[in-house]
Amino acid sequence: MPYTAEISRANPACFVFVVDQSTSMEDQIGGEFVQRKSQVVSDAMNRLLYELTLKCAKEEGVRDYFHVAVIGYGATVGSAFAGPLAGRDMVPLSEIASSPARLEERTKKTPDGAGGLVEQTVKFPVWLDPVSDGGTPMNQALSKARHLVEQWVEQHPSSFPPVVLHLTDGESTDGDPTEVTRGIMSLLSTDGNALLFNLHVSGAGGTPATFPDNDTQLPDSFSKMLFGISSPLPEHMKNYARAQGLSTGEGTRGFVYNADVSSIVQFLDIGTRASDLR
Amino acid sequence: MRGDAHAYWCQKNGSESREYEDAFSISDPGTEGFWSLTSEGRRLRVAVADGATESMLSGHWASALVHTYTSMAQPQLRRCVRRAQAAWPQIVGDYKAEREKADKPIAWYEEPGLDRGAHATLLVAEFRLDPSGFSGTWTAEAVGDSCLFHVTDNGMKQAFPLSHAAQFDSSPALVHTGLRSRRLLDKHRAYASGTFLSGDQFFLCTDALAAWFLTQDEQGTQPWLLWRALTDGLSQQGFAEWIAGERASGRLKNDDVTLLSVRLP
Repeated sequence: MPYTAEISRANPACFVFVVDQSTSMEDQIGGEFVQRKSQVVSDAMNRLLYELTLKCAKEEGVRDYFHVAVIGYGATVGSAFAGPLAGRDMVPLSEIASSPARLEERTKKTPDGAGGLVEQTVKFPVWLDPVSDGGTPMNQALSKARHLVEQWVEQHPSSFPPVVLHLTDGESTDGDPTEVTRGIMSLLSTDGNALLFNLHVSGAGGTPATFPDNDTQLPDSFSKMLFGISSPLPEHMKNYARAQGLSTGEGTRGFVYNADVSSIVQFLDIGTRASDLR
Repeated sequence: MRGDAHAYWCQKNGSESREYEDAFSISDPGTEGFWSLTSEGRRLRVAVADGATESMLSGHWASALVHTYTSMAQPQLRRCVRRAQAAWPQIVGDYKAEREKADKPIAWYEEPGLDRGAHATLLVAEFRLDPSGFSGTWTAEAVGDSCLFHVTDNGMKQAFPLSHAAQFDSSPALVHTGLRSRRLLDKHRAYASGTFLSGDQFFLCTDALAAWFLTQDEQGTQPWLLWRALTDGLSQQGFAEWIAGERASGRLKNDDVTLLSVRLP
């Protein structure tokens, strides 16, 4: 059965994130808070890396269940890490945990146990800063992702299939990415095809969507194109999506429109989940 | 006459033994694992727990739960959980102090996990021998997918709390260090009881072995015969070798494993 390979330190999985850092990411998107797209994307990336690290954190350190690459594309195409990891491609998760560019202090409201809320200061690591500069060489960036995935499956032929997450506003300046994305999704480990997910950050309005099963409600050609090049969600991932209260259907794909994408971290099994009784 | 209670364990392949996050406890292990019928008023209590991979200090929590259960005068799962929870802040405090002392302060990625608390499955059982010495009664309580199998010469008499291999997944019910709701605990707590005869055997195990056992049973291979023979004079080394073989064959999931065998006199 595909997508059932063990994810462990002996048999790690890989994530390749591909982040749009072109000039168009300077534009703002509306919604509850007006934000630059580049800010939305770097926040999403930092949140994803944070969640992934916490998932694999144990007393003795962070376990290398995953290796992670973050490719940025805009004026250049290459590693998007800021700080000590700058220039690195595939990085074991323990190194990501120990090498953020900086730790910021943020406040969050937590229940005080008496029905109210209390403000708590938490450390929030930053690995990526918002960048918006240059064209949108989407094909070039996805080709680099394909190369990294190719290398990974060659070196880890029985691993859980690589997961590529592409975060963009969709406006490619080097052509239609359909062919290169087909190339990514055709790469195989013995456990199945590589998965390509897309987060579309857009100012086109419309209703945010998480893992829709068709493109009829999507607002423009960019979203429809990105939906079209997203992998169908494997059955067990649909179950996890449903467990998080998301609705899924027959044609559900790994596509998110203007919404939180960090839930995909929870689609991957590293052992017994730490879920509270309900 | 005497029965015996032995526990065998093995960490996940690729992990070190200190990273084993299951736990087990036997109320009166006796000499070399043989418990005497009279040493504890003809009772034996055992417990098995499985700490969740995704939480911090889950091995400590699993250990706290099983040892709390077997050391209680009047054991009951609900009371055991409450008592272990009351002791938990001290365990976390000791851990933090130990880290400070070792000059390894808590890292940013550990803080949220320590705040979130730990999770583990819990399976507890008590065996009481009748005055005749030839039969007795047992009770068991469980939260999650650690399982008990009651086997006799004729086969498996009972599987508890799960009875089909398809019931296992990566999201079992778990006891949390901070759970205060008695209603939620009761909702997920399973209970079973029964009688046993001299010579019966009980196996308590964590999920990977439990799923293995039920799969084998569903395939008609009579796994209780193997386990009854296997646990007769089995050493830790012998157990580890058997586990390695089953993992290599793909029949056993790579996970921490614990097998606690109780052979009735």
